[in-house]
Amino acid sequence: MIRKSLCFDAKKCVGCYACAVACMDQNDIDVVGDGVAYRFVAHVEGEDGGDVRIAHVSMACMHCEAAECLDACPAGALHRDEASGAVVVRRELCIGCHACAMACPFGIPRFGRDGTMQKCDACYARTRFGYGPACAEICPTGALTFEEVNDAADAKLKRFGRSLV
Amino acid sequence: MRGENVGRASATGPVVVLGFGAAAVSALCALREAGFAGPVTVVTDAGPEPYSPVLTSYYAGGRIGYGQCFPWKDLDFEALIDDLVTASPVEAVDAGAREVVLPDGRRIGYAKLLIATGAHPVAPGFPATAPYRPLVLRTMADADRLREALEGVQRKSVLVAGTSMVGLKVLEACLDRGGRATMLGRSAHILRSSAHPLVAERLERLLVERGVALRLSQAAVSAAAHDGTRGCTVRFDNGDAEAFDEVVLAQGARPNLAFVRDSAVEVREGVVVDRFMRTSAPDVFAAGDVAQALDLSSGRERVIGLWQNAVQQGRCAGAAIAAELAGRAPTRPYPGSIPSNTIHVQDILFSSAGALAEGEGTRIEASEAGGALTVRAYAYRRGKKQLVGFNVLAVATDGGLYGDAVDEIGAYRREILNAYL
Ligand SMILES: Cc1cc2nc3c(=O)[nH]c(=O)nc-3n(C[C@H](O)[C@H](O)[C@H](O)COP(=O)(O)OP(=O)(O)OC[C@H]3O[C@@H](n4cnc5c(N)ncnc54)[C@H](O)[C@@H]3O)c2cc1C
Repeated sequence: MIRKSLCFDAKKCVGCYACAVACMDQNDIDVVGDGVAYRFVAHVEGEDGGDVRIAHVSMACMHCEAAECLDACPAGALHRDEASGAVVVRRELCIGCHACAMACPFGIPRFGRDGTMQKCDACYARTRFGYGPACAEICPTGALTFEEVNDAADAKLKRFGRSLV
Repeated sequence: MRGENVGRASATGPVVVLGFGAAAVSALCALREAGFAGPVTVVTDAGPEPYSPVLTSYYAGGRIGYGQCFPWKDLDFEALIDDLVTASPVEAVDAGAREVVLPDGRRIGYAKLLIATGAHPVAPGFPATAPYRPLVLRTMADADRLREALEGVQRKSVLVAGTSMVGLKVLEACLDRGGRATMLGRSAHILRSSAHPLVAERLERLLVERGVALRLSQAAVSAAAHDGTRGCTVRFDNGDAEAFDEVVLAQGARPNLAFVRDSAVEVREGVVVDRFMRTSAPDVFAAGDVAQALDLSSGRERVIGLWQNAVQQGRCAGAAIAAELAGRAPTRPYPGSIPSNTIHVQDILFSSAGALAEGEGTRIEASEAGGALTVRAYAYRRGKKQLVGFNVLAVATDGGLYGDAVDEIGAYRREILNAYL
């Protein structure tokens, strides 16, 4: 089965937070109250030939192919949704042990006031009906897209090729 | 889950898996995912549904129900296993005859054998308490006994002998049940092998503030069982004596290998394996808490009894067995691991990974932010200053949230792994 996945192009991201807001809206997250944001936007400063450059990075769970969080969870609270390939939390089984937080190199697992882990589920409730994830649907610059994995890999290769010539 | 007919066990028998825990289940999945379609027999001393030892303290403390201790609810075990032999602690492995011997004398031949029987608690040096039997925690039966002992009676006094990860988990179960807990350890600090003294001291203070009594740098020298009631009076090497309603021994674990008397399978601290989890005996593999594998931080082969290691070693063994049965060489070796831990005691979270021993060439840096204490150990490796170990100790705020320091633990662990891989 050809799967679609969320792809991010840092060159196109302007750091507008539309993705983070759409995510909160889709998942009914009240970050002022009890909620934990699933998507973050980081602003990274760097230097390039004497010029200061600012890059924006929209981050959420990457639903890794070899997801270490899946191996680390001792409670059966994490599983991969077969249809979408998303790594999904069952909060009712989570014991809040933080083993997933220790396993994830990206700092994605966050814990709510009830002690359970919460994170992006790649909007698998939307994608199973043919809609894109809320963050990708809203992105005004095309930085976040929902693409077939092969197409995304192909585009990445082409981008890399262009950077060489 | 069974794929195309890539591998078949030979005429000498099925693939036999001893044990039905994290390593075994993970191996079974990998075996079938790799396309092995031949017969598989699982032999376990427990029941038909695999449980997670990690969940036993949560169950004993009343945080979760019995049913939640079995984390593989979604797996189709009928597709994974042809013959499941339960309540049957394996008696012996006869590597020469390629057979395992069951308690009823039955012999099962194998084409490939995986030993994944986990570990059992040990209590080195704790005095005899007969006729009172102290509690331990590993299996569901242990968890039921601990739950029963802690349930009901409020303010029960419990001695937790051992200051390891499991000791702290037992302590949490006691506190959850309203017990009065005392922790006993020979070392000056708790979590001797994973916590830096700075962090251990802070953690000890936090525990005392939550009503835990600590008896550190002490040992029990004798114990006298109470008449008629449960518990015993323990005498310590500083001359003190104290009565406890219950004693729980959490002083470490040893691999379940009593049935491996066949010298063809080399056993040191655990079963000696190569990077594909192959033992010294032909066609015999081992994974999980029974196996000694590469600890990247010490460079030594040793048993690191952790859930994630068991899962990853099991997967490696399952894939290697499938490959060999299909006539191919296995390709994905087990890369090794570092010790890592996250432990909660009520609103306290302690996490650690790598090595924190102070020594020549190691630099320790401590910092405090947002109520969390972080200690990092750096060493020069390959000419670069590299993170080799860390502790983060955090207390949840009123709202039940841990600070930003806890969000970093996965990145720290990865940084340490990268220093070695
Ligand atoms: C209270 C507690 C808390 C823990 N907390 C953590 C934690 O927070 N994080 C972490 O990473 N690790 C933790 N661990 C360790 C973790 O549980 C183990 O590392 C992991 O379960 C090892 O998996 P395994 O498959 O090797 O062994 P197990 O899961 O123990 O499975 C062994 C299997 O073998 C069976 N068996 C035993 N002897 C025989 C025999 N003779 N014949 C047939 N079958 C047999 C057993 O019934 C069981 O099915 C904890 C352990 C305990 C006890």
